[in-house]
Amino acid sequence: MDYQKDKIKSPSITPASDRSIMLRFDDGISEYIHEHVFYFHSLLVKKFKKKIANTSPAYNSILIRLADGVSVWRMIAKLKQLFEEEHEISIEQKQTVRIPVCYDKEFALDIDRVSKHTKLSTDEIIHLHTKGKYLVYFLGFSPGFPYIGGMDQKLETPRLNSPRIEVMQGSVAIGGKQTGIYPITSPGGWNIIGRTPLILFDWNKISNPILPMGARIQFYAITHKEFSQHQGTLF
Amino acid sequence: MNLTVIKPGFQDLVQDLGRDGYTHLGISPTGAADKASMKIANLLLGNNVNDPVIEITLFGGSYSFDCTTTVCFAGSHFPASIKGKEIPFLKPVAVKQGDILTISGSTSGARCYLAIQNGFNVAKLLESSSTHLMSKSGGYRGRNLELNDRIPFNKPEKRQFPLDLKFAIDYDRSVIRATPGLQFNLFDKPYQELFFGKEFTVSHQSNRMGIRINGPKLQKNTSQDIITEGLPLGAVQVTGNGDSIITFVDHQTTGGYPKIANVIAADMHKVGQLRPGDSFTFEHITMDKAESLYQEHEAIFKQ
Repeated sequence: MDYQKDKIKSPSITPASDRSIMLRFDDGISEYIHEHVFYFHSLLVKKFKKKIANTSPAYNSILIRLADGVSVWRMIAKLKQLFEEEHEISIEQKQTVRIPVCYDKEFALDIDRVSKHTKLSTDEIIHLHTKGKYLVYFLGFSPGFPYIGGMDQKLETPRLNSPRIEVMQGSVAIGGKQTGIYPITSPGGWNIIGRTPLILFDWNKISNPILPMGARIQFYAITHKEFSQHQGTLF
Repeated sequence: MNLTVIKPGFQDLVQDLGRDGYTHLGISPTGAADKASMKIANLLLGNNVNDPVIEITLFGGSYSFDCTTTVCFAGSHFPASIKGKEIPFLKPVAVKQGDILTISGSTSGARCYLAIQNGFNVAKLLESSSTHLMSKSGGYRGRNLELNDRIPFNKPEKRQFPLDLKFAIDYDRSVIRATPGLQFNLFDKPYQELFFGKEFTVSHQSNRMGIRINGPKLQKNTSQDIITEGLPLGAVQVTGNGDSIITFVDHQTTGGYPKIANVIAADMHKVGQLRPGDSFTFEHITMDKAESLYQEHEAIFKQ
């Protein structure tokens, strides 16, 4: 989608530490701001390759951690200069990735908790969760963990009071207003409502992640038998 | 050529300067907890600063060498010996084939570094040999060294070791300097003053992801949560309970807690030396001052 020049938002640019800079576009979460983050993140990484050690794009911000020796203030001046130039945001729309999820009790460790909180039956939860069209806003927390927006707010359920030490790889979960998938086994505090048999993170395919920032996704329900057939398949 | 673990230490990890360039995929930068000491151990051997080392935390174990080489220790002092003879820190030490190196508990800070001529040689993951424990990746099988592990090291050649290097590093852990964090203004003045005035004590629930510190309870001036965003190394996050956590080397790449302050880069090596029970205060530093301290700190390694 293209935006007129006058509609492009410039971020606030502030030091986050003596080795990092925060760019913040706006105060909310929206696909419009996401497109800014997506576009400018790619641009910054390309333009300042040698000055940037790494970056963390998020909902409405980009954190830049500087390469050794690069000055925060000098980099901020360069960034401000960049945003004075004209920009046209263009984003290639990605294909929707369809993700099979088995919502069986064996995997859905917290579906009763979600049911109790939302006052929805298991079937209604599955229906609402598979009906949604989702966007991967960014990857963060742990390797390949997608922050996914677009969940029906009727499914909102607070996080667990104390996080689990180990959430199994492939677990699909609800944390507050968000839904997510644990690509690797890791600690986690979200309500688990199912599991996908697919491997969604592969250290050997880093440059081409299965669920990259900006991906559109949709979930579909599968049976326990189908889960077993697909288990461990690389997406 | 291998180092064999005869008795593992509390947490022996293969580390280098870290895995930069992948935080946008959720992959932690990781790397040595006290990079200053790690660099010193390498430089004293004439190695590259980034050559993989073994990071030893709180207490070490016993290790044998199947080939003659040279090693060097730096960081907090851990009594270490070969055949009952204590070996010095900050000096190249020759080890012979069959020698057994025994390292006991630290007498000062949390960590020391064992560097070896030309570095340990484990398969690199995304250009780095660092271990990241949470994702069980990198380093030696993505975990702490265990009994009978054999860690390959590179072939040593005849070499003149640099003898005139001196490193003026401040290891005083009683004061840690910090700049205001990204959400400093979400804390009212009394809380800001408590933060930069009162003493904090390092909790036992600390690890390479975060150093939990017990001190004054801090409360932000809004009930609204902040939107999840990137986490800088050294950010002091304040949890919903009012507890503080220093974001450390194995940190998750993004987080949703407000950040009241950020430890300056020139003091991060001190954080790597904090032990459970250590007490310290934060000193408020401006961004300008922090940047010049960073430049001075980096210059120490460029001799």
